[in-house]
Order: sequence, then structure tokens, then C-alpha cells
Amino acid sequence: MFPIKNVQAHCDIPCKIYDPVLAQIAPLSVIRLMDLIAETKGTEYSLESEATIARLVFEKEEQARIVKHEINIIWGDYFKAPQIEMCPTIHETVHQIMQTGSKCKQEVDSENGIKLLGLVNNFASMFWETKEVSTRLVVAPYPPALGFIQPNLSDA
Amino acid sequence: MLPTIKPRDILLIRSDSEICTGDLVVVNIRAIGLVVKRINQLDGKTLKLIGDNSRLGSSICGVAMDKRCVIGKVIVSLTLPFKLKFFGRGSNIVHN
Repeated sequence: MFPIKNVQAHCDIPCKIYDPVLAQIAPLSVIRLMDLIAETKGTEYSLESEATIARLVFEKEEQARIVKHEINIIWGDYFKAPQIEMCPTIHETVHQIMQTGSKCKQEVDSENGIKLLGLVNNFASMFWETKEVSTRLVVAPYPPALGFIQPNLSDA
Repeated sequence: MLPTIKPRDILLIRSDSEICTGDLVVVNIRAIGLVVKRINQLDGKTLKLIGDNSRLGSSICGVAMDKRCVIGKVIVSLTLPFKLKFFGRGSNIVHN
């Protein structure tokens, strides 16, 4: 008799939508929040100023958490053997994002935020490379007006 | 692989058949297992796959992989209770 084996059509998740854009916006927020925290330096103590700093710090940590979460999902669920073969430095980049993301949560130095943005941009470049979509570096039209990677998509 | 292949279809494959772009093939992917897809590009020792269902993608599609992962070419699919599809070169359905 012929052996009959199971074969699957294979798709990754029900919605099949992976996009690093959320992970890319969050570092911009982290940097902006770090800048706003720095602007409060020297402000006379009041209940209101304490509340403002508390909100800024809380949101900075939340945005850094979003970066780590979004990158983890794409790296863990989307990147499989063929993509990893195409992007041999992906593991190292993701590890650096995790480390720098934590540093952004712990500290208020915007240099950490800028480093995080650079790493996430590298990750986004690699992601689009696996889809054979070219990318370009554009400047965000809002503070902190830093560069981030965008895919060159065709018009709808 | 809808609409070409439906869940629980039975596929007959030939492992000694020459493959070309457009063929339906069964490939053995490490960490996933046996997968049926269509050959989108063939280039020397590598190939790229594509699915027939445009609304569902797969991370194994669109990436170069070794041609040696091809187990065989799909030549017939059987949909129960009884509907046969025969696949010719480039997987045009030759008889339905």
C-alpha cells in the first residue's frame, strides 16, 4: 500500500498581519517623554509638578514595554528558519533591543532612547528585507523629529 | 491552499518528476514538517514558494530555500466523496 502522510498548507496566525510600525513609533514616544522629563528639571516642587513627572515616567516605561513586546512577537512568531537565514544578525539585534528597552525604562537619558530607535530601525529593515520590500529612512514630522524606516509600498 | 486544495484532500505526488515554476509541490520544512505550496520562482539550486490563498500568507513563502526540500510534485488531488483534479506542468489543471 502507498504510505499516506499529513501535509499542511501552513499559515502562521489567523490574521497574518505582522508589521514593526508599532514598535517603531514607541521609541519616538520614549525619546519625546525623556525630553519632556528633562524639561521639568529645576521646576519648583508642587503637587502638580510631581503628578506631571509621575505621568511622564509612567508613560515612558509603558512605551518602552511596548517596544519590547512588539519586537518579541515579530521575532518569536514571524521569524522562522528561512527569515533567520536571510538576517543572520537578527538574534543579536533583538537581544540589544531588549537590553536597551530595559535601560530606557530604568533611566531618563535620551541617548538610550535614540539608541533604541536605531536598533528598532535595523530590525524594521531586516523585517522588510525578508518580504523583499525596499525601505527608506524618513524624518518623523513631529518632535523629536528623528529618522525612522518606512517600507516603499505601492499605492492602493 | 484554497481554492486549489481543500482541507482533507488526498494528494498524489511524484518524487521523480522534474519541477518547474507554477508546480504544486510538497516540501519538507524543518520545524514545520510537510507543506504543500506552489513554486513561484526557480533559480538554480533555490526556489521560492507562494500560496494560492491570497488572503492567508505564510512565513515560508517568498524566501529562498534549497530545492532539495521538495519531496515531490502534486499530480492529482482527490476531494471526497469523489472529485479528481489532475495537475500538468506548471500545475495548470488539465482535467477536473
